[in-house]
Amino acid sequence: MVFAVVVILAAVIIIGWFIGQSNRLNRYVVSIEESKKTVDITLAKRYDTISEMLKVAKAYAKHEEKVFTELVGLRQSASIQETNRAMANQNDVLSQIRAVAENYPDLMSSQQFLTLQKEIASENDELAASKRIVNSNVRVMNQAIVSFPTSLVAGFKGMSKFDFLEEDLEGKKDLKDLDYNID
Amino acid sequence: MASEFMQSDREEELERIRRLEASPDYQEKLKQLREKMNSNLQWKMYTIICVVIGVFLFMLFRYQGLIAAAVIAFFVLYPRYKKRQELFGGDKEDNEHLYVENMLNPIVKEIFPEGEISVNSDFPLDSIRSVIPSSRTYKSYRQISFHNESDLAVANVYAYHTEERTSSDGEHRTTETVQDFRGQVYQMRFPGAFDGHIRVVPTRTSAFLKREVQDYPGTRAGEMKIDTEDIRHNENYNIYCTDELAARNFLNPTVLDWFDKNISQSQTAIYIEDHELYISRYTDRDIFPLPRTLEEIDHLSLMEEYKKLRGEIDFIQSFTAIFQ
Repeated sequence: MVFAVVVILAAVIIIGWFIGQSNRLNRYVVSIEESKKTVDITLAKRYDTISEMLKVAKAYAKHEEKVFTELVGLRQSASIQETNRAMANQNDVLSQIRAVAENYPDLMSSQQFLTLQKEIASENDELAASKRIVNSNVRVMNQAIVSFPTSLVAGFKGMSKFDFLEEDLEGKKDLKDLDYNID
Repeated sequence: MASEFMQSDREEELERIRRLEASPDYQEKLKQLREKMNSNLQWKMYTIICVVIGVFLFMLFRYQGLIAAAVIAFFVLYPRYKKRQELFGGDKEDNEHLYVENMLNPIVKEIFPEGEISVNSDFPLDSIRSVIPSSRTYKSYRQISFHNESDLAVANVYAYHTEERTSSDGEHRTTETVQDFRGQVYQMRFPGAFDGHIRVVPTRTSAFLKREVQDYPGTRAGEMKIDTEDIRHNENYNIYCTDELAARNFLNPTVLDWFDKNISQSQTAIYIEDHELYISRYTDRDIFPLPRTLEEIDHLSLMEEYKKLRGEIDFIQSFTAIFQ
């Protein structure tokens, strides 16, 4: 009798713990998706700003027949890999715009371009902060997935480690190099 | 470019302080300041010694002991009393006022002509209570007010309560002071107007069963508790607000990132209502601490105090830059 009670009690505790851990992991997934959405929204804003910059740069460089990389928009519910690709593409286009701006001092000093540069600077800050949050969430999730005994729950649910957003992309250095000082 | 400009600005500031300290007028003031502060410290020290000797002699020899103590006190304290009369006249000032008025304020005036440091703080108690753990007694002091565009001001805050403890044999009862908060509270103007109010307060988990423990005030009337998309933030802070939309607009990635960075440094809480923003940092220390020993007073120097004060001000400005 006592043995049966102990077994039932142990089973209740284990099931309770399992449900608790499972809910925790589900909450983490929701947080990752939410924070990833913030990155996507910032990227969409940044896409619009870069499109505007591209138009202005093309207008200045029309005699040069310069070919810019095509700016690719981010589809809704994009995966982390797709978001990484979109960021790399935006950075690529931005570095090309920067190269054009260096050859055209009039473009560099035009009011419209300066305003867009300011917008890009603030969007870059926002993007960097939101990326840090996604990666921090992914880190917490991945730690939970690989830590025993939560790893048992994650394995049962078929969860695997999440990918990180890339922190240091090729074009980022060029973005930093842009002179955002208006004065 | 900006750092070069800042460096030349600092060198200029340092030069002004150096000139001020080297002036005969200030040297005379500094000498007087040291004498007055030393006198305050010694007076307190000798008075305590005389009282202890008096009690001791009274217990041993009753009234003869008391007379002996009075004679000792006369020879020890009277010369010091005469000296204090000469130094202060009828205008006695404690070391806190002396240090703030004659040492810190001249430096602040050199850096920020509009700024000032006051001995007492004028922050509303209700606002202080919103950003620090629940307590019984609150003390706020040594406030620096920049009187700049964002009306930034910072004060030291110490909050405590007392607890009665009984010894294991049940015979002895003692009253102990328990520190609830020691650190700084920042007050500044919030850019734009905030709908309703928001409080972001730190939380922690207990060692046993990992249950949430919150020393800061919990949900108040009209408040709702919300979470963010940041797991670390949710695990380290609780957010209470009256307008969810305004709260979510405020808690953008940059602000969440700022909170995350501060988790490792100190407990940080925020309270915003309308145009007012309050931030608390539990640092377990005072900013602009008073010199407490005769040696520290003898080594007082405008240059050294400037370096310490500059360091504190630089931190205050970088810490609040996100909300300026």
